[in-house]
Order: sequence, then C-alpha cells, then structure tokens
Amino acid sequence: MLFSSHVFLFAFLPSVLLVYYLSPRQIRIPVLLLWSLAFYGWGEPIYLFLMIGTIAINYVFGAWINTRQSKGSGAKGVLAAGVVTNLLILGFFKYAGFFVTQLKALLPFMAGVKAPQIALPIGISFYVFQSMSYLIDVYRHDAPVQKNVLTFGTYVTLFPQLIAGPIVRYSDVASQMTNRKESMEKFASGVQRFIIGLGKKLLLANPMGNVWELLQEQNGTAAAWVGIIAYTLQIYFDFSGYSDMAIGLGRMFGFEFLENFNYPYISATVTEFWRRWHISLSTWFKEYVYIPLGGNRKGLPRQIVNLLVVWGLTGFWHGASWNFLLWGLYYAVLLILEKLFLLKWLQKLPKFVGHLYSLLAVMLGWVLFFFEDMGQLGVFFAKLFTPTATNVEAVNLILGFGPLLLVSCVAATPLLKNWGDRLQNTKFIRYGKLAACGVIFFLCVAALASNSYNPFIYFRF
Amino acid sequence: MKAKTEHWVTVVGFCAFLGVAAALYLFLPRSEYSEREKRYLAKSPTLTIDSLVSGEYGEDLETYMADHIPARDFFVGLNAYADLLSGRQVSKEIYVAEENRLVEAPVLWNEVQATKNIAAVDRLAKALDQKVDLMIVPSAGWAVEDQIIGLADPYTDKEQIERLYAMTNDRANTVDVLSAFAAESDRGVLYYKTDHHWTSFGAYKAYSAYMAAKDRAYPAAEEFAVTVADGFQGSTYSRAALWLTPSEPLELWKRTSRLFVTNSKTNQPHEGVFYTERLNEADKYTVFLDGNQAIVRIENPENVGKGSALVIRDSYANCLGPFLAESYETVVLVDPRYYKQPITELCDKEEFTDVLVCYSLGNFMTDNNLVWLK
Repeated sequence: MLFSSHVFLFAFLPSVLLVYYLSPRQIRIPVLLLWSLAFYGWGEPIYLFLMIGTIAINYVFGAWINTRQSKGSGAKGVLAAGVVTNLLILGFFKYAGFFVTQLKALLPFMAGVKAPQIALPIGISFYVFQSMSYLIDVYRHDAPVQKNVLTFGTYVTLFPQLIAGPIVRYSDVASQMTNRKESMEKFASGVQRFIIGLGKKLLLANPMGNVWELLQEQNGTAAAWVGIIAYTLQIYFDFSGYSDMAIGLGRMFGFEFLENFNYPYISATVTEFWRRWHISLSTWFKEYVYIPLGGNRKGLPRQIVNLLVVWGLTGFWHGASWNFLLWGLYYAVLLILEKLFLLKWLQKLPKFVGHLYSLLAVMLGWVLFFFEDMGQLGVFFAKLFTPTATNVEAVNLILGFGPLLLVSCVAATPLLKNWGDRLQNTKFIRYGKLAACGVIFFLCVAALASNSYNPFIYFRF
Repeated sequence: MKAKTEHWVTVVGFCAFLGVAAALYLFLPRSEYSEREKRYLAKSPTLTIDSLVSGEYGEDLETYMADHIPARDFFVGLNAYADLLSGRQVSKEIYVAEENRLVEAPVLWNEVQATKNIAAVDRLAKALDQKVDLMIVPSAGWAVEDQIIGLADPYTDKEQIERLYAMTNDRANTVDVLSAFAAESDRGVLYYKTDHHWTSFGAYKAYSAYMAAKDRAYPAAEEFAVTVADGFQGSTYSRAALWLTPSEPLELWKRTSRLFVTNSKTNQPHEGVFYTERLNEADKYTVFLDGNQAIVRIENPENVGKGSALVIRDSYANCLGPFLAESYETVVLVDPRYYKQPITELCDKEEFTDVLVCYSLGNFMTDNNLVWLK
C-alpha cells in the first residue's frame, strides 16, 4: 500500500487512527502491529509469512544473544549467525535472480539453470536492515533485548517507515516502543509534516517525473540537461517526501523518528551531500560496516579499501543491477578523492565552485542510477555532452514546466523554511501556515483523484 | 506544553476530512456510469479468500475507490485548473484557445498507420473497380492555431494532409478541404469550441468543396433554415476537465427536402436526419444521425436519378452525410470500426456513383480498422 493512494488515505489511515486512539494504552502496540501487518500484506499477502518469519527469527536471535551474554561467552557467534541469516533472506529475495544470471554468463555448465524470478518483497531492504540493527544493538548493549515479541514485531513492521524508510535503528526507538507520549501538539505537527510530504510526492515529484519521461523522447542537449535536472528533483522530492510522510505519521502515533534528509542539494562537497542525503542509510553503513571495518583508524590504504567496500555495498543495496554498483563505486571514488586532496582545494576556491561541482557530480550520479541498461546509459551521456539543437516540442516542455521546475528548485533549498522560521510567531502567521497546509492537501487529493479520470472517447469519434 | 488552539484545529480538521471522506465513501450513492468519461466505473470488488491472497482485492479496491472518490468532478476540475495555471498545458491532450475554446493537441505523424491506411484506400478502389475520393479533415487546433493561449506544439495538418495525398499517387481523387477552410476569414466557426468535430457550417463548407470538385449541384447556405440547440459541451470539454468553460450552441441545418434515415440499430426508417430527443442526453452530438452506427442509409425521394454515394467514414460524416443527401438520391455511410462485413458485398447489391473515404486527420493517423476493408 502506498501513502499516496485512496485506500491508504480514506480507509486505512482513518481506521487505524480511530482504533488506536479508542484502544487502552496496553493494547496500542498490538493494534499498530495488526494494522502494520495488514498494510504490509495488502499488495502481496503471501509475503506476510516472510515478514512473520523474519520477526520470529530475529526475536529468537536477540534473546539468544542476550542469554549468551549473561552466560559470558558465545554471543559473538550467535550474532554472526543472526546477521548471516538476515543477509541470506535479503540475498535470496533480492539478489538471487541477478547472481544466477551473472553466473550463467560466466560458467557454461550453468546454462541450463533458470534464473529464479522472485518478485521483490516490498520494503525488504529496509526491514532486514532494521532487524540487523536490532541484533547488533543488543549485542553491543546499546539497547536492551526486547522480551515482548509483539513489541518487537511492531518495531520491525511499523507501517510509517516499513516500505521506504527511514531505517530506524533499534537503539533510537527502543524506549519509545513502550514509553512514548502521544500529544495534541505532536499529532498536529505530524499532520503538517505528512501533508508536506504528500505534497512533495504528488505536486512536485510526479510532475518532475512526468517532464523527465517526456523529455527523454525529445532531441537536443538542452532537453537532456533539463531532463536530468527534473529527475534529480523528482528523486529528491519522491524520497524525502516519503520520509516526511513517515516521520509525520510516526508523530501522529507519538513516535519521533530521526530526520532522513537535510536539503542535500545545497551541499558544497560530495562528502557533505552524503551527510544530508538518506541519512539513516549512511548512518547504518557507518555504524555497522565502516566503523567495525576500522573506519579511518587503520591508516590511509585501509581507509580507502573500507570506503570502497561500504560504497560498493551502499550502491548494491539500492538494487540488484550493475549500474547501482557502479553508482556506489562512483561515490567511493569521489569521496576518496575529496579525502585525499579535493576538499583542501575546494576550501581555497570561491564557495560557488564547490556547490556547482557537488551538484554536477550528484546529477551525473543520478544518470548512472537511472539507466539500468548500459547501452542506454552511454546514449544518454552522449546526448548530454554532444551539442545538438533542441526541437520545438522539447523547448515547449522546458518552458511549460519552467514555473514548476523553478518552484521545485526553490523547494529543494532551505529558503522557504528559513523564511518561515524568521516570520514572527504570531497567531496570524501560524494560521497562515495551517491554511497553506490545507490548500496543499486539497491539491493533493485533486491530483490523486485525477489519476483515475480517463475519458474514454472512442465512442465519440 | 499545553496544546494550543491551532493544534486542535489541525488535528480535528485533518481527522474530520479523512473521516467525512471515509463516511461518504460508505454511504453516498454511487453512479455506475460516468457520462463525461463514457465508461462504466469500477464495480465494488467482492472479497474472497482467493482475491485477498492473490492481492487482486487490494488492487481492485484501489481502482474502485479512485473511481468513486466523493466530489470527484470537483477534484478533477481543481487539478485541471492547477495544471493549467502552472503553465503545463503543453504536456496535455487539450489546449485552451481564445473565446473559451478547447482544442486537441497536434496530431502526430504516424508513418506506419499512414502507409497502412493509404494502402487500404488503394485496395478498396481495386476491389470496387472504381476510383475513390479521399477527404482528410484538418483538426480544430490547426484552424485556430494563432488563438491558442500559452505554449503549444506546432500544428502540421497541412503538411501531413499534403503528404498523405501525395502518397495516393493520384490513384484516388483527393478533396482539398484544408484549402477551402483556410480561405475562411474566421476559421473558428468551422469547429465547435468544446468538441473536436466540425460544426454544421464546417461540414457544409467541406460538402460544397466536394460537390464543386465533383461538378455536382448543391444548395446555397442561405437555403437552409437553422435551429439552435443550446448547452452543448463536447468531447474536449470532458477531456480537459476545465468545468468553468461555458457551453455553446449546436446548430441544426435543415432544408425543405424530406430525408429518411435507416440505421443498423433500429432498421426502421426515421424521418429527418436529426434525432432531437437525443438533445436531452449528456452527449448531444448524437442528435446527428443517432450517433455512431455501423451503417446508415439516408434516402432523399426528391433526388430520384441523382445517383448514390458510399461514404467510408468516421464520426465527422455524421454531420456531412445529411448534406450529401441534398445532392444524391441515396447516401450510405459505413463506419469500419463497427461494420465488419465486406464492402464489396454492399456494392454487389447496388451501384454507387461515388465512393468517398472521409476521415479526420487524427483518426486517419490512429485508426487501425481501415485495414480490414474488403
């Protein structure tokens, strides 16, 4: 189920809010678990078994680590087994098809083997990573073991962040699972945040995706550049909008999740970009892979290897395809270069150079990210860097979407937020912001309703 | 911190909106059919173990809820205006022109379909052993291109029609409607403002150009008495969803001659080419010849001996056919989208003086039923 769907907005959300707030405190966690499972099972009920299995396995491993630790030995082995089990689950459901296809190309005797066609279980990359964070946090004593399987299940499946993050680390929410306080203020801020996220998705990301799609069919260098700018904006608003909705929904139920995006496109270096983009994922890899590998504490050569490993994995986490690996390694190279000398150079240059370089690097990164087919990737790069005339249809699209492209560019910076924060905190301003949210919500419903409006005019001709 | 009034307003407002919407979904009566979209809306899905387990129920419920969202027209209209105001009309199917006119975006050249359809016209001529006439009608957008508000892709109707006509290599007599239309000082009156069809005036202009090319007599425009039906909102109105666009009058041109129409739906002769009872329906355009039919026969008893015309056509001829009946004894209109028997059979039964293929450019570039012509 997607947040930007009729079923979610007008059936799921009202019912879960109603039942949650009518329930006594003791059963609110089970209510959330039940609704989260329904949310998860909505599209592919068969994977409910996978979800319940994942919960059970990790619950048992968590308890086992805890027992081993109180007995004084063997916890490390259990942790390793737990992590490997999670990786196997992820590996099977997400990467098996890819690996078999690659092996077939390499090994002649595998030619007869059929690559498994497994529909990717929704959100698996997120909840498997959350489960692993639980095991590691328990092992490290960063968080207590969760005795209640229902509470643990709720942590894994909690519907706001289930299918697209943020990846909530167990240590960050362990105490909130049992001791959190719902309040009118939190709920209200959650509503506003949710609407802003929904607006980002429906009013900015979708049109940007639309113009990117349309421009791909047109000719000309300008069409390619504006196209990739539109895609850059689409992916940011889509993803950060989803995180906003997750954070907002969390607040409606009293949870506080950490921020996942912090205006990444205003970064002056690629290093800074990755501190502002999908923060929960970079933190996860830093905490659970980069630092355990030794991080930057074991000398430069080792640090370079660590960066390559972490970014190769980060890329591959985004999808089972070579281009994602390439995309990850592209960032590894940029980050290594920055560490070696680029950061020092950039500091000496005027500030806008850094911004320009970062934005360009990120945009070219998105080209790698978008094209799973290497041939198409090459064609698009050629389009970007060979000057050709832009056809009139493309110019029309660029001009027609111009206003929205501008709005999106501004919305991707903290300009509006800073302006809003500077305004005096008067009643008038507060209600003004509220009214703006109301308008955004109405426009979102309008955009959603229009998706299904398909005049079938065949009979008219 | 104590909750402030605005927190209450936010929470209550949001929950009330969701709650009311959910309640309206449950209790509002639902329409099965959407007049504007000309389609049946999704039916309430039935919950079975199978449909639930396969995930089909989830999908169907989303489609169903999307089709039946309360105040759907309001929201669809709101979105259409928001898109228009943000400048994005160029990415849409319908453009806005001056004087509250809504026109389709330009027709795109389709080499494959063009080649196939021209070949079909050739085959038809061979099968009938008779040279056929070809009339391709330019689009409304072409006629009012200079009146379109904001950005618009260029209309190449002239180039496309010339190219199509060249492709016939003189194996068909081409009828130059475009030049006749281009000669008009006010091209806007040739087409409806809220529909993609030509008006009765536009159809009359095409008719007179055709008759002039055939050296046939035709009555002057002044000989027709015009009745006006108000409140017409056609296909481009429905598609644009810009609901504030005013409706327009629909003109019915009538002469003294008594015309009798038989269509494949009723097979009963109907006196007059206008089915005025259909003016009460949402789709008023069906007033012409009772809407689209597989085959329609118009008889004019006053024209005995003036020959007969066979028209292979799309819906533009719903308005053109009655004019042709002023010059022929019999006019037979065949719509290949619905008529699936061989045309040659028709021609075995009766001799046609003239055979006309009449299509709008948009349909000729997309319709793939012509290839079945035999």
